[in-house]
Amino acid sequence: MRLTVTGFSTGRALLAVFSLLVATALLLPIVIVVLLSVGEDRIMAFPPRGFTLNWFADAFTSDRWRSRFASSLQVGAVSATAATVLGTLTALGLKRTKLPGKSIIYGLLLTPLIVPTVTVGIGMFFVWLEGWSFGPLVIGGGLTGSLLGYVMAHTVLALPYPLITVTASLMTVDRNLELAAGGMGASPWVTFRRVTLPLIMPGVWAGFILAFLTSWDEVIVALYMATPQFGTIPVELFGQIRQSPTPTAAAISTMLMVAGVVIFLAALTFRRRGAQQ
Amino acid sequence: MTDRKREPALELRGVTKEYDGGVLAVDHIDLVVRDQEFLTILGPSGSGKTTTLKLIAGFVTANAGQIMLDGEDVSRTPPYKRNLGMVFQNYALFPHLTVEQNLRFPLEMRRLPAAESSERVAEALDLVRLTGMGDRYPRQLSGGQQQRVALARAIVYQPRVLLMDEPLGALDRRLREDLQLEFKRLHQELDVTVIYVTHDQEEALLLSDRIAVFNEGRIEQLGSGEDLYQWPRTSFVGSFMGDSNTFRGVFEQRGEIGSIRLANTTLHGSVHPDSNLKNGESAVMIVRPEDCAVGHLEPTVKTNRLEVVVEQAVYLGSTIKYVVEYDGMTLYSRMPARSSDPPQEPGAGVSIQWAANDAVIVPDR
Ligand SMILES: Nc1ncnc2c1ncn2[C@@H]1O[C@H](COP(=O)(O)OP(=O)(O)OP(=O)(O)O)[C@@H](O)[C@H]1O
Ligand SMILES: [Mg+2]
Repeated sequence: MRLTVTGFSTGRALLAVFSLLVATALLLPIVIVVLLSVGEDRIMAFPPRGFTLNWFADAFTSDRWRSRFASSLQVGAVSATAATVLGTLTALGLKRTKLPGKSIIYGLLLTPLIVPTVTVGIGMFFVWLEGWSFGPLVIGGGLTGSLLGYVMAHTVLALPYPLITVTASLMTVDRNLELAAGGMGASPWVTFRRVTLPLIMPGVWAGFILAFLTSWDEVIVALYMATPQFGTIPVELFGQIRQSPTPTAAAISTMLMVAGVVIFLAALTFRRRGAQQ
Repeated sequence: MTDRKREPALELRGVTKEYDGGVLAVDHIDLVVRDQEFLTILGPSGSGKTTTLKLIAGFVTANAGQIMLDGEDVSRTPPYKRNLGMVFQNYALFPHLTVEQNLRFPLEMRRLPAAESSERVAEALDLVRLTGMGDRYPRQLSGGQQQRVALARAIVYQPRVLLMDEPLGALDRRLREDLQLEFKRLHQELDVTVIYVTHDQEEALLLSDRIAVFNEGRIEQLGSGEDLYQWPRTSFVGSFMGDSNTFRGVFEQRGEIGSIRLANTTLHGSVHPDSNLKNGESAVMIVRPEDCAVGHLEPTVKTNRLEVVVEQAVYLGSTIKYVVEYDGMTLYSRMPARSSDPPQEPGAGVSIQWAANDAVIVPDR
């Protein structure tokens, strides 16, 4: 392709304008939420009037928000841990053994990324609520509105992320390092703990963070699972906005956003540190 | 040297490895490695050298045969219980550990007291001349230094046998030569049994007590470097161990000396004692370029002599290398460059000749 100097600069100008539009479209809602969270009106209104941090104070003092925050944190931490452990072990199993049909298993485990969450949610709802009955034997059931139910659901949804990041990390680990460790007297377990695990740690952390974020802002399955007694922040936000959109919801959203950015930056740092090794 | 020296340290009996997909990588190998021996496995790419080392180390399991370490069958023993040392071609140093931590790793696996560990690590670093480098990470070292660390890590726990898979393959020539001498020195100082893999015949000759020449998963010949060079048992060994001239013809035995008949002439040579050749069979004569003289030579008894045309004369300092043509074949000669003999010009008709005792006749297969 030949570009004249003028053609080139026109193209660049167009590109700049376009990028600016996209950035605005992406950032505007975020800016609006932040603005709404500091307005003085009791009901969210735009443009907001005045400036107050009361809604943030509200969010911190409200028992309901506190309990939702605790639930979200618990569900996120436990399900991310579970997904990371399972994802890491699965990645190892698929990369380091001679299992037939490995790629099929890998594909199946990634389905939560592809199948609409609404669909998965319905299935989960029934299993979690009713349980599986095999004749007289019933597995699960009565799990809606419980920590265990949420954790199981979110573990399934989050599993693909650590699976992907750890698999990618494993590809960069030289198989000879593990053989060398074995040759020097390390059992398979010790080899994993002393050699493989430290080397895939960046992938493990990245997977954990992505899994946590998945649970943290997952709303569809969480809606199915919620009861008045137990729910996560996104469910509560959703409910509140639909009933009476108080600026507290905007304050919460703003804080979630900041937390999300911090976590994301942390993940980037891990990756960079991993890349330096 | 102790009196263990002639005992077998390691023995392979009929060891066979067929990979999934039907590749017969190692085909019924029998091999006895003596204690404190430096044995080299030499062979072309894909001949099963690495597979053999991996079988010994236990990284792959044999389909058939036994592997005996000090008389004990270890065929089913996992690698971490075999007490062998292995140096990989790409070093396989742990990138997340410092040099010192790398060296400590095998000692920790053996639950050595910390004080003794430190002593051994310092000793090993000293042996490979890397004292003071203990705190560096592998990525902060040059290729040659990394190779030394790999070696130090493999000897620091005094394994029963040291396995080395083309440890110098990734290094440039100068460094390779330095490290070859270092390996030789270490082998003598440590009295360790070494099995060394290479496809460089000069390296094999320099380092080894004995060499096993591999071809297509089999041992083609096992012997000292001199044996293999002077008495190749097959034309493969002859051509793999340095430059050679080979002639294919029909075998005839006349007393001590054998001969092979070519289209226009008959050549005489020593028959390899293991060859079992019978009259009329197809055979190959192998003769080294340095045993061949080129020039206007007087015919003598017991020599082979062919009329040839000079194609190239290459002056190599102390020697002159001639490339000559005989009946469509290219032959080589390497002669001392004596100032009194003017070198032959390309196109000159000369003769090439060599003594019958310098030529070996082996079966053609
Ligand atoms: N994991 C494997 N699966 C299937 N075939 C293999 C495997 N490893 C090696 N092979 C095959 O086995 C044969 C011997 O391989 P090996 O690595 O032992 O050769 P090598 O002598 O070490 O060669 P090189 O000098 O190239 O390292 C080759 O044909 C190779 O393709
Ligand atoms: Mg190899």
